[in-house]
Amino acid sequence: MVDKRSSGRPMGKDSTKVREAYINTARSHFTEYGYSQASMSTIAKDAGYTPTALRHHFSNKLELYSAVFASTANEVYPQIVQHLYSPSMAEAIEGSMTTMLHISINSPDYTYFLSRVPSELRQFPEIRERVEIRENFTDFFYSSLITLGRKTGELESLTDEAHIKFFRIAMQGWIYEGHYSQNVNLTTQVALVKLLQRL
Amino acid sequence: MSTRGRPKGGDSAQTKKKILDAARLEFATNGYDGASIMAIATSVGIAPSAVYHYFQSKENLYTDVFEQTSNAIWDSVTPSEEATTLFDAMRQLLDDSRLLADKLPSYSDFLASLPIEARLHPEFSDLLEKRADYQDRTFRKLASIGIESGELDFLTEDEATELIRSIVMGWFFERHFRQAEIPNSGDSILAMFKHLLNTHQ
Repeated sequence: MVDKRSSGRPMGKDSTKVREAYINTARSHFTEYGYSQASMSTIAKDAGYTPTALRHHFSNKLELYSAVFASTANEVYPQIVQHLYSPSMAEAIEGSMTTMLHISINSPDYTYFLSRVPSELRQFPEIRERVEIRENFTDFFYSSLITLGRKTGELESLTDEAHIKFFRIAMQGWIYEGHYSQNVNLTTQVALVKLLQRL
Repeated sequence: MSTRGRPKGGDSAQTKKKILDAARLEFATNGYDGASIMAIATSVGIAPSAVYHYFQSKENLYTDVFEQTSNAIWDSVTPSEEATTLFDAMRQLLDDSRLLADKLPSYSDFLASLPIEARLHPEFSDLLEKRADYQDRTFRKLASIGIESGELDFLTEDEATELIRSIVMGWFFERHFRQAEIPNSGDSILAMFKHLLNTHQ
């Protein structure tokens, strides 16, 4: 009997390429149709492979969604986090919002996928465990932003902790509204920076 | 001679409203494609043909639900003539929104799903434009209150409008996604405007 393991190409290299193709295709399907309506067989076909091959990599839709989320978060979050090293809170806000705008223009699937997570979560609680990083990251980002503002004195005049959530609400609102209305601009960013200077 | 049912006039308006309420919930829960006229008709207690009698098509029904829902929300959050500060106008807006959400829970679900439906169904893109118009009018009005009062006089009208849009939508979306407000988020918004009002001039 021929040893089947010695036939065919090395698994490693091709396997990664195929996996990536699935993830990128799945990302745009989840973004376009949502978790519920996206179909594994359509995704496989669109990626140019068979549904069987897809299931070899991802046993079910939840696994696939999970992988797409991880890949997306790993690409987007580091680009945002770097602005926390800015010398001021104003620059951190300016930089992070500009970066988010660029990503949403150049790779809209990435930002749109992430902004759909909360609404998918509402309908499909089983996703929660897999997207925990998003909540953690969001909390971390805003609390670091505030820490920076306290350090530089930009938030000195705000003695009430209640003021602090304001920035999170405004920035998250800008993100959600940008995606929902398909109309993103940086006017909010300008307003927030002026507000900080005014405080 | 037996009476043949109740007067048609009053019944008709009431039935129409019941259909709209049932449809809003059905569209919000199952999306436009997944929504079933049969399910809507059943929950109102009429035949599907009766639904079509009032609304001609699923598309018309969706559009009418949108009109009714938008009018209710944006009318209730329009700043009253008395509000002279953004602080007052925002406090009223937040209170009215909370009341509306309690009274009519599927309102926010329906409106929040509109952009997704419009992506899937280009025939609804003009509804998105209408939503944008309703919002713009409200946010601009709030912005001018804020600039007049001095709370936001360091911003241009556009900057103030966009800032208010982000704050209101941020508050609305977080509450919608979590099905509850983030504790003190409303207070935080009001506290900021109070601070800006107090430190003005």
